[in-house]
Amino acid sequence: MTESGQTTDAALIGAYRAGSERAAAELVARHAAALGRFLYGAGAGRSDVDDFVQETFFRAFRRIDGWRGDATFRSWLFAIGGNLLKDDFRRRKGRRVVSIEDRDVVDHADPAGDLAALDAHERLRAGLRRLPRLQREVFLLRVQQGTDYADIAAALGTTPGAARVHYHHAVKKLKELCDA
Amino acid sequence: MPECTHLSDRMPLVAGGGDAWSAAELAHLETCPDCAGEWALVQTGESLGRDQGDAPDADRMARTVLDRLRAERLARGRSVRRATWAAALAAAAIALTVWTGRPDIRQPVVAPVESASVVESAALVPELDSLDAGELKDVLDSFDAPLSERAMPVAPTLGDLSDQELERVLRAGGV
Repeated sequence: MTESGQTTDAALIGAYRAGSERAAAELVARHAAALGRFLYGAGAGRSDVDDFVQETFFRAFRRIDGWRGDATFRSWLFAIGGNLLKDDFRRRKGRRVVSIEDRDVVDHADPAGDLAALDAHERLRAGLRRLPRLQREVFLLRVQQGTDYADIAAALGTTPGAARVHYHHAVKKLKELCDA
Repeated sequence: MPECTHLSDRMPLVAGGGDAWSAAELAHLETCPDCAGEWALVQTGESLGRDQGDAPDADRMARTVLDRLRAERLARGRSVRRATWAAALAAAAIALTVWTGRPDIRQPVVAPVESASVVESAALVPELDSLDAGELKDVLDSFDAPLSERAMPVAPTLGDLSDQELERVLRAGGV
């Protein structure tokens, strides 16, 4: 249990290993939205995000014994999602299909503000796509999840010091790319 | 510079709403273009994907994932069972072949009957030394001729055997 009385991910994983499908459903409910945002930021098309999220959970549960608690379950999950995206990118040989929905325009009360935000998001996504994979994933784990460098390092198979360096290189390049 | 590192480390937390900038930190952000640029990036990154619309239906997704896992386990179980059966059948086939391939000691052992040509050769060979060249040529020519053209010796029967040979055959046959 956590301080807030919530069952920990480790406990849910233990329950799932013991056969509880309810525990698996709880893990999906906890992490699906954050995983979707991470995958979207890392380059998944808007219309493909749900499929990638589902496939990530499928692979994660299939080899749940591979999670030994070195990294948080969420970071481990994101690393699997990152691998999935990389494989998909290789399969398509670098071609990316951008569907109409990927460029849709949100319709809210402040269209000018939304368009400005969308523009910043699109520029950032375009910049992220041009970063090396480690830099991109470290940046997203850090800014979207607030993950600390030790956890990032454990999930991505690097050291905390190297993760910090990757983050700062990512920020430096993104500043150049987004300001250009 | 230490102030920049401190702010950089706190940016994700503040961007996620987990904390707020202090007055000193805000003052630094206003005067440091590096930190201000990073802060803008972190804020944009933090909100990236929030406009994606509805979050995935976790229950439905969990059901789909678990169904796929079950289907995969079933398929794997089937293929393991199939492989086990195939291995068992192969082992049984090998055992059967080995068993039926062994000479059956209950079957009477009959002295091998030599083929006509062997009998013919055996009958001729001891006498070859005493043949002259012409006779020897005739004999060799007869080997080259098709079997049907050759004079076929009469196949030996039990009656042709000596008493000792007959006794050996009968003993071997368990008679």
